[in-house]
Amino acid sequence: MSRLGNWISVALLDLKGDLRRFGVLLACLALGTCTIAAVGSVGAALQDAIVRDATKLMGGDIEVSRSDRRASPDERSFLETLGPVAEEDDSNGRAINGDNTAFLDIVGVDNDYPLVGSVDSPQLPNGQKPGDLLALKDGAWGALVNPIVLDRLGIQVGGTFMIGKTQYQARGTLTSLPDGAARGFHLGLTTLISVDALAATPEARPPMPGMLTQYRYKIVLKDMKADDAIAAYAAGAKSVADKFKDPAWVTRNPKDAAGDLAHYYDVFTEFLLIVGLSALLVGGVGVSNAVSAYVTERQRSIATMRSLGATSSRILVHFLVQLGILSMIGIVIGIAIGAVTTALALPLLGRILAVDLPPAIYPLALAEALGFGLLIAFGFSYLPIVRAQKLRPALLFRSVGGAMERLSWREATKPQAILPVLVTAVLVYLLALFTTNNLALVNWYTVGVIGAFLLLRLAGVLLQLVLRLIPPLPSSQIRNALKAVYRPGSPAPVVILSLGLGLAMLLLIVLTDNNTRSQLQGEVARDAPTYLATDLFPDEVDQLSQTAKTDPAFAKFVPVPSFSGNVVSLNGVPVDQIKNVGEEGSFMLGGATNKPVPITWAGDLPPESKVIDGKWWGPDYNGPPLISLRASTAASLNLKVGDKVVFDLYNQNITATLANTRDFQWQSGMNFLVTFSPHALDGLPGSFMGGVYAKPGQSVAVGRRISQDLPDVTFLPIGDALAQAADILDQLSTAVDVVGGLAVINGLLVLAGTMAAGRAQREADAVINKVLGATRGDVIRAFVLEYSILGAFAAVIAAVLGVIGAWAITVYALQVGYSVDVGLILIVIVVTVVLTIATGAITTWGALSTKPAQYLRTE
Amino acid sequence: MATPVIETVNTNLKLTTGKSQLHILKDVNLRVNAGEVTAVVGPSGSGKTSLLMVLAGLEKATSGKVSVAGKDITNLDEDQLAVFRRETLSIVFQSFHLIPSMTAIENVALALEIAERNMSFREIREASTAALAEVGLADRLNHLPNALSGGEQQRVGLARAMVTNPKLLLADEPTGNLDQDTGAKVIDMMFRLARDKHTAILLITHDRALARQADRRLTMQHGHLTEEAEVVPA
Repeated sequence: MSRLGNWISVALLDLKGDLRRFGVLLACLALGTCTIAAVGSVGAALQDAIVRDATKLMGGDIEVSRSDRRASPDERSFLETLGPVAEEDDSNGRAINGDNTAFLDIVGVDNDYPLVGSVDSPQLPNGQKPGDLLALKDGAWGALVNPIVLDRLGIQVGGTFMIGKTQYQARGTLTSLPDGAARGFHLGLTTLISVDALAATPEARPPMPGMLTQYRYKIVLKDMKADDAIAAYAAGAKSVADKFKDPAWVTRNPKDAAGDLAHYYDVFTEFLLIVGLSALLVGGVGVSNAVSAYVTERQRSIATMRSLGATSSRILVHFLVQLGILSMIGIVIGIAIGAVTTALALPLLGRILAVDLPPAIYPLALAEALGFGLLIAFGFSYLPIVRAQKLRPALLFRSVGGAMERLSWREATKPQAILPVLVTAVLVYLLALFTTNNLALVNWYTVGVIGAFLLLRLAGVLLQLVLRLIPPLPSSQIRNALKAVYRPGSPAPVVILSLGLGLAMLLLIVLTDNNTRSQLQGEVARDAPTYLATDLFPDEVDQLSQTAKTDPAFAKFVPVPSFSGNVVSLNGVPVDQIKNVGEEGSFMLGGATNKPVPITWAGDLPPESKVIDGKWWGPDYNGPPLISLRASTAASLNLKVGDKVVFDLYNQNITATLANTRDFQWQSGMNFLVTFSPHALDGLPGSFMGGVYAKPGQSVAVGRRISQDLPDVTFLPIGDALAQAADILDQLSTAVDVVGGLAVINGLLVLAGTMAAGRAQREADAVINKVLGATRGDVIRAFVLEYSILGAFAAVIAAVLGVIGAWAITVYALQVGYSVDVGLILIVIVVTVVLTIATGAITTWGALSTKPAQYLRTE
Repeated sequence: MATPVIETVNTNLKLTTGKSQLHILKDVNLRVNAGEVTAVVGPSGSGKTSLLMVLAGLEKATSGKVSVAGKDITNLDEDQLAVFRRETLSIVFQSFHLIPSMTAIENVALALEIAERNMSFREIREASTAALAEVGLADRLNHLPNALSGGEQQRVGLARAMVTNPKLLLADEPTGNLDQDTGAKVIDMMFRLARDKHTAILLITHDRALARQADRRLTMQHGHLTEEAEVVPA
């Protein structure tokens, strides 16, 4: 047998015995890799679905659209030369049945819709197209409605409702559209009608023309070749561009539509993967503890082998082989569970996301989980094994307690000790980068993790130092509890690290989730209007103002002047010569199709606004036109206070000076990109945007009143939109909570493992204390005190880390307001301390209860 | 003149514990020839075990020279010492130090595995079986240490020590954890095996009756090693 073969065979021989002691190591690795395998598989399934079903998601091979009108008959004829065409128009409208109303997301389709896929409705069996069901019959147009519409309007299938003066009949319920996932977020409850019905319903119009409308023409190219789809898409797009010179026409292919959706899912699964990686990193601490405990337990055997002449290399290979095999078992278990549960859950997830996700196994995702698992297992095992290597066989001749000599800093930082660990860390970083393809996320995460590890490790050392310096306290119990924290071999540093990491992750997720929800449902809900109306005429403003004063259901009505215009030049430079502006700047300049931007004027500084640079003009200002821009918009356009901006409003050029930049949150009331000073827009044909605020519990009553008083006005139900966003957030945060929860479970496992590893020492301590006269109650009280100190300390450090992490994510990544919920943090800290004590008690109860005679007889 | 198995010249061992330094071995000069049984007696804390550890390469002498089987081990590193140990000597411990998860035959075989003598698995197995038979444990091959009595465990330790045919056997209080009768039997076996294989023995003991069975008796007192002038009856 070769030398290495000999070393390996002895290592395997030595692995016999009770493998239950490796339970925590196996569980930590299994849980961590299971999480990554599951998240990676879901991400891969989503991307697969998007690529595979891109054409179905978009509804055709190419989509030609514009936002201001339908195609003319000539234009439609040209599109039909490319292949079969189906029309799909987006709009909004208010459905009314007596006193009941519902705000609708209207999808108007022609008889050829859908060209690809089918509409999912109980009333359309076997993939039947909806054209017949939506046709005009007995004076009513047909509609397939979101089931909630029936509830809102108080009707059943077959019941009728009005949109303006046009009658509709709800001929069925709508489960999903084949291109629903790619449509994204739309205001209102989705309702399918025919394009002819939409054309016959002038009251069905979007609240913000040009912003929420789209007239889409989906085409299945007759010259499509499956093996050269890209070329076919490009040819189709070129034909359209050559024919339609008007830049208002926009052409997309399935990759563009899929790209948006893919990006959305990518961002979400990247974040989940990072949370999953956190679960594995916390598990890594458990691996390190388990390996340390194993090496400590085997120290006499190691010394015996050294005394027989085993070299340090042999000891290294011996333990690497053993722990390699055990790690692989844990990792394979985790991957298997992750793969199977994901495969089973995919169809259910697909139904939620309106994407077809058949059960499948994704080898690349599993390979990535395997890679992470192996790297973490090696990285966290290596230094404890180096400790085994350094063990001096002389200890065979000396009595040692349960503890083993720690690796000194000098030894730990020697190249042969530290280099493999550093290389492993770099490989984990690179694998995370490869998996997420998001450099910023991985970099910030790396900084966060290293910072957390260092802070927690340092905190443990500092705690021990500080406690050592405290003069002896009067109470012997407290004195001994503090001593137990800083004595050699104390598990304090490990408990603080493992508990702190898991808890910091939990707090980060809980605080971020809490903040985002409170923003959507709390602060924003309080400041946001219940209904928003656009294009109000002055008499409608007067009517609403009066109603708000007299109707007790109304809290207030806030009208804001509303204009639209285009930017012509910035500091004399025409807009078409301005390049390299950021996203906000590009929007303000009108984008590719020169869309007008919403503009207003104001005398008083709008509420929740803060002037960043320059000066606000005041309500009495009556001078040359000034403007105020959002600070980030101005920065995006490289504009500063004093710069000149020329606007074209209703064919009139107005030159304005940038007087100030402001900071405000979009959620805090009605804000415009551009705000003019008073009198600058006098005489221009603008309108009003109005925010209607209902008193608590009165939103339905207010909705009824405004739709009865002003049936021609479209009121956007902001509350409904917030509820919709909150629903989506609920689904997303459930996934994040589940994955984050696994990190916490791993943290508790690590804690249990640490406690179990220290059991022998605890048993010896308990026996000696009892022999000296301590009661069982004394022993237990001392234990509770020691672990309360550790748990509380770890919880405080974790709270600091969690609060900072949640602040960074909330403010910079999610861009919403941040507030600290002290009560929530305190609850988490208290629960943590209780859990720490409980976990310790469960794992060491036997040791605390050991009868001295029984222990001394067997020792 | 034949090369002595052990030769130390003015060997000192100083250990630092905390802020103080202990001078454990003081100018120890020792010479043991091949096949000789030498006992070292002395009170607890006199430095007997430390001497054994220096000779086994488990502690490095602070100064002086240490040669075992003609090899100067004074300046060898840890791995070189490990190789030296497996080629030259064996140790029998007071607390047996068997690997708890390995059976008797596996514990004995471990010494041959580590020694890397280019033996096949079968040859190792046969040699280990023979070694255990020599100590009267032919019927205990597959027993784990926790299924063996103290005497049986020490015999396994002895088999493990002798299976590699060492030039030097270091025994640290080999009967310290055994009753008198069992200890006597173990010692008889040890001496017999050593004589059969011409292995020198350095025996650390506080048992003067046991020491009397050796060819030579040395006394360790406060780190100084002296030839015992006379043996005081127990």
